[in-house]
Amino acid sequence: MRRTIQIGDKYKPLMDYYSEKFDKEEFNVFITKLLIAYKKMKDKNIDLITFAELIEPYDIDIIDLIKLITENAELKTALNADSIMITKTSSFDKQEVPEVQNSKAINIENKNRKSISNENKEEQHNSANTVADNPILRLGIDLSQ
Amino acid sequence: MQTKPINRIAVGVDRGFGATKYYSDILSGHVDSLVAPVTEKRALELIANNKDDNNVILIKINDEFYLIGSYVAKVEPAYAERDLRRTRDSINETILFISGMGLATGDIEEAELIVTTGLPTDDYDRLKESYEQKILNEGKPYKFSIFRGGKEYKKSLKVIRTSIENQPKGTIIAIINKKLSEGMDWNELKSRRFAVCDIGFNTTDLSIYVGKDIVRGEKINFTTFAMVQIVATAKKLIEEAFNCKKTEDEILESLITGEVKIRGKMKDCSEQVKQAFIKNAELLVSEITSKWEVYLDSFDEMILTGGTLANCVFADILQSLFEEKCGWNVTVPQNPQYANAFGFYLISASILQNM
Repeated sequence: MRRTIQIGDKYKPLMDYYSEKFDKEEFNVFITKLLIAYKKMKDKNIDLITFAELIEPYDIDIIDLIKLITENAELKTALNADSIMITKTSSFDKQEVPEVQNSKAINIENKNRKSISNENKEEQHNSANTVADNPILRLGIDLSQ
Repeated sequence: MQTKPINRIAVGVDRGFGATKYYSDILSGHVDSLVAPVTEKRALELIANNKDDNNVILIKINDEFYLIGSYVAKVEPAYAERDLRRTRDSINETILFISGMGLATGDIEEAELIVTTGLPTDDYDRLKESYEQKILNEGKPYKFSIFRGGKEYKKSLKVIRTSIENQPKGTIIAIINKKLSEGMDWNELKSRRFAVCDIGFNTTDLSIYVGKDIVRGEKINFTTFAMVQIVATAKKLIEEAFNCKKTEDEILESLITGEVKIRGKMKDCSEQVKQAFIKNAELLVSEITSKWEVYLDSFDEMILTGGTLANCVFADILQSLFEEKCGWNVTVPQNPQYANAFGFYLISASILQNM
């Protein structure tokens, strides 16, 4: 069993640097393609923070970098040129949001649950009194719909 | 001739990438989502050596043996990394799903099940139908054995109904149930607008619900990064700080304890863990507030749930950030790891009631 690389999960730290400047979805597509092309991606242990750190000290404008690549590198057939178009977008302004009620922590446990003493601390025997314990079932509706 | 009455059991299975959670009237619990195929000889050896250990679980299906759960990381390190494939057609997925049903039914051998489970938000429309067909298993019972604590539990479980839900719906149902038990009125709850952020191991699912109904629309419901990214960041910081190499499982342990074992000695890595949490919590809150910018004022309640929230340090950081960045005092279920499985169980129970 091998872990599949989740490229989408790995490049998030880069957004630290660029999320305010670019449309995120376009940027996501671009950086994913870029990183697929990046040789070291074959190494499943690559951490893309390394990549971010690699380019961060340089005075690189990401658009210039894209331009450099698109003008000088040959497109692979799998790479869709449309997907590397990046559009600027306004950054998210802090928004005043009214605070709602002071929500309490929710306890989802069945009332009649009791623990059993084994090392799997999370496993518990439950009450069979399903309807009495759970008012949502007293509504009599099919919750799947 | 008397016929044996058939048990009908409502089951919720949350097939998470990090842990598989199960919930029924009988039993609830979880196993780490790790699977290692083992030979019969090795299986019999593990069963014999661990008669007093309920955490050592083996399953025999189609004459093949598999070790599942946390013990895999200890004795089969080659299989100690979670399978992060989002498709639902792998053997590991099947083994873990069947194990979830098997464990939820305790020592009951034969039963008909109503099973509810979930899919990540981004995969829901694409995989729902095929996943449903797979779980129904062409109407045939799943026949297998679970070996645990020195006992063999033979099983013949037939799934007669299944409901595939958007992953965070389980939490919504669990929370509505809780609020009803606290005296809130259903008429009020069914029009209440919930935003739910379900942070799992591999995916974070974000959805908006009105009562128990999902709000559909472009860019309203989406999936983003999750615990695995925190693990990657913490791994890098810890490895750099202590000049070492660590496995995913060791890092997961460090995220809980704030310590890491270096050359036989426990070292404090709480600062690296905290930094990994803060860095990713900031990214997550930034992404959520950005994508939901236009909806933020419309919610009645914002809920944070999922297995990752079981880590109190991360939950506290995230709660503080939500309050700081967008003004929301978010609700966190007391048992966020089980909120979906419990809600799925309630859905199954409601189907059973209406059959």
